[in-house]
Amino acid sequence: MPIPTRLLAATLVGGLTLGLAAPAIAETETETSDPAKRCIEQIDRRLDSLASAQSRAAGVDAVTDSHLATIDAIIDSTEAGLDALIPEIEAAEDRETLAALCRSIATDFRVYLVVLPQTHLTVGADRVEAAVDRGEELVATFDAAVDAAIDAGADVTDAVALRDAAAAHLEAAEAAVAGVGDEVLTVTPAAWNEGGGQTIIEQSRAAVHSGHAEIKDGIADGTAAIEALRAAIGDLG
Amino acid sequence: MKSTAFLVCLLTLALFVAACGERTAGADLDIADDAPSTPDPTSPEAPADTAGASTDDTDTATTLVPTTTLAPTTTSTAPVTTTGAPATTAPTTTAPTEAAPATDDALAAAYEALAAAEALLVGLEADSGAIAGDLAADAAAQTQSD
Repeated sequence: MPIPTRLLAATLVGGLTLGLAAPAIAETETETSDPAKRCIEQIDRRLDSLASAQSRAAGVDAVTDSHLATIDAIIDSTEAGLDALIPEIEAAEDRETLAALCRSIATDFRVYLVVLPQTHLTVGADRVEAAVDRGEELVATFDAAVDAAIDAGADVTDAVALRDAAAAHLEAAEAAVAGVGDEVLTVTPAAWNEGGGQTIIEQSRAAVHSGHAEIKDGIADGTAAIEALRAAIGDLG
Repeated sequence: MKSTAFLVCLLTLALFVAACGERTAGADLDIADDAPSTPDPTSPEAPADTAGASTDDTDTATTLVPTTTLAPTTTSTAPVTTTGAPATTAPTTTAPTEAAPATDDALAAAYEALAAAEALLVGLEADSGAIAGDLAADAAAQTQSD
């Protein structure tokens, strides 16, 4: 009886240890069989993704200076932390130490669950706001066309109705993403691990999707409005 | 006696001729002196002198002005100043020529604004595509495991 109990306990401990280390290690079904090299490859993959996201964000005019500065700070900090892990991994002398270090690649930095999403969602939210600005300029320009069409004697009823629908979608898009960038950038890996950060990121994701959908609907109505006004003017001549 | 009668007749004839000549010359002088240097619209004689086509003052005042003199030179203002035939053609020709440019200008402005709106629409579509790219990048990150 004692023997089976000890076997069972050993099996459970071993299973838990392997299970905790699995997320980072399981991603690397690569050629190398060296656990330390596999962990470093995971770090390199994350560093590449971070550099790509940072460069992408820096190239978007719509991103506010404040958001870009925050994104840069988060990514720089994450990269520094990952870089610091590499010598520790290389110096690990036992499997437990190595497993803990490899596990921390995921749990301490949450590159794919936190940093990259908050970067992409902030950029997306800022782009929605910039699109709304452009859409409002479009509406103002369209209104000038409507005024001129009225002066020419055109019936602009349909065009104006579609214009109003487009403007409503723009307002909805702006409301959907209001404050998203500021909020999602507050999420940290620790907050994610505790559960609170997941909600913020999910809500931010839903908000950007909603804002994007409103922009697309606004484009559809704006396109129809322009076509309607062009037809109304064409009927004059 | 006969010669006396002849002299009396001759004298009478001479007096008659002299009287007739004096009367004709005075009438010419009267006309020249009374004629005004410029036509007076209120004078019944002025239109007759200016036109020189009729001696009937009343008829020349009403018929000659609109049909021969005023109509060709006052096409734009004829509807206001004349009461004859020219008034019927002027309104139908001047009204459309003044309204058409205004309509054309409005149409040109409308088309110009529409073209600008379409250009902004193209930009908005590009914005939408970029947002879709952000969401796709976010989705791609989620497929990775932390």
